Amino acid sequence: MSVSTTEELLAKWERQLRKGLLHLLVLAVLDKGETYGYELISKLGKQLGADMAEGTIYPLLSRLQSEKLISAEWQIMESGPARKYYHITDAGRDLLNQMLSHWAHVNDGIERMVHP
Amino acid sequence: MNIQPPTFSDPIASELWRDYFSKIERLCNALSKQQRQDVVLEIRAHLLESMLQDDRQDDLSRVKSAIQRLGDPQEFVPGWVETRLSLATEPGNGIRNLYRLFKINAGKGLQHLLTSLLFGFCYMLVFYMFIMALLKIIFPANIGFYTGPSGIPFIGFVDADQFTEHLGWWFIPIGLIVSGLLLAVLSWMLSRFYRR
Repeated sequence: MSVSTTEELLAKWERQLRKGLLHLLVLAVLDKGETYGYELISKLGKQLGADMAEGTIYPLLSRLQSEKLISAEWQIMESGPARKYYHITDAGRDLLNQMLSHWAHVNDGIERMVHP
Repeated sequence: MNIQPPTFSDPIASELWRDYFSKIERLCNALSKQQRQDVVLEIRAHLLESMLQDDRQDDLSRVKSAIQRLGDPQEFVPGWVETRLSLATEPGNGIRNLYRLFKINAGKGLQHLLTSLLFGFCYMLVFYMFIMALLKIIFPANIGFYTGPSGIPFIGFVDADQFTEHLGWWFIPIGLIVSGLLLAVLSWMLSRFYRR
């Protein structure tokens, strides 16, 4: 059995962390204003500084929609293809605020453990 | 809402685009027509946006890169389909949800069943014509294309005295050619149906 290098383990951990935080990040981006799939992915890519398969965001958007945390509507553009714009709902904003406060709490805990 | 697929000057780019979307449509098979169209339109809109941001001139590089960045449909479409199916249900209403899911799946199941029966019947007719054309060599007087006293035409094994034969020995090459052609057409139609 091959042993993973530190770089491989770190990359794996980063992927898992990103995946776990994706709900929060998508809601946080949408909290700043409505956006469409491609733009949302570009923003996430810029913020996270990591390559992600763009398609992975769509099942998540669909799930958030089914949980009524976001809503979506098609808009016809003057030039270029039509866009499906996503908006955060009140329930989504509530959840985001709770997630952020939980995240701050976890961050504090980590900080206290690492730098007592 | 409708977003037209782009037209490419490069036939390979067109083929790549078509293949990608036929894969997506196959993976969306469990969805209703409207839900499937919504998924396809969103992916189409995404790829068009992605290609608009690409400054390169050649279609093939732009399509390839946009598709590569979006990823293999197998990786993301099934999860999407799953949540779309759950959108058809309502929390806390078990019987109505069961009925809705039954409606979605039963409609598709019935469509597949009827199509399979129809194709099966047509394949049997083709096989029958092929066998009859071959058996004509052994039973030249009893097998062929006949009309009976009522004037209804048919292909079969009969007592030749009571029926009028029309093709004679030509029944063999015509039967073989027609069954071959029908086999090719049926197979083409079947593959189109399953690709859809």
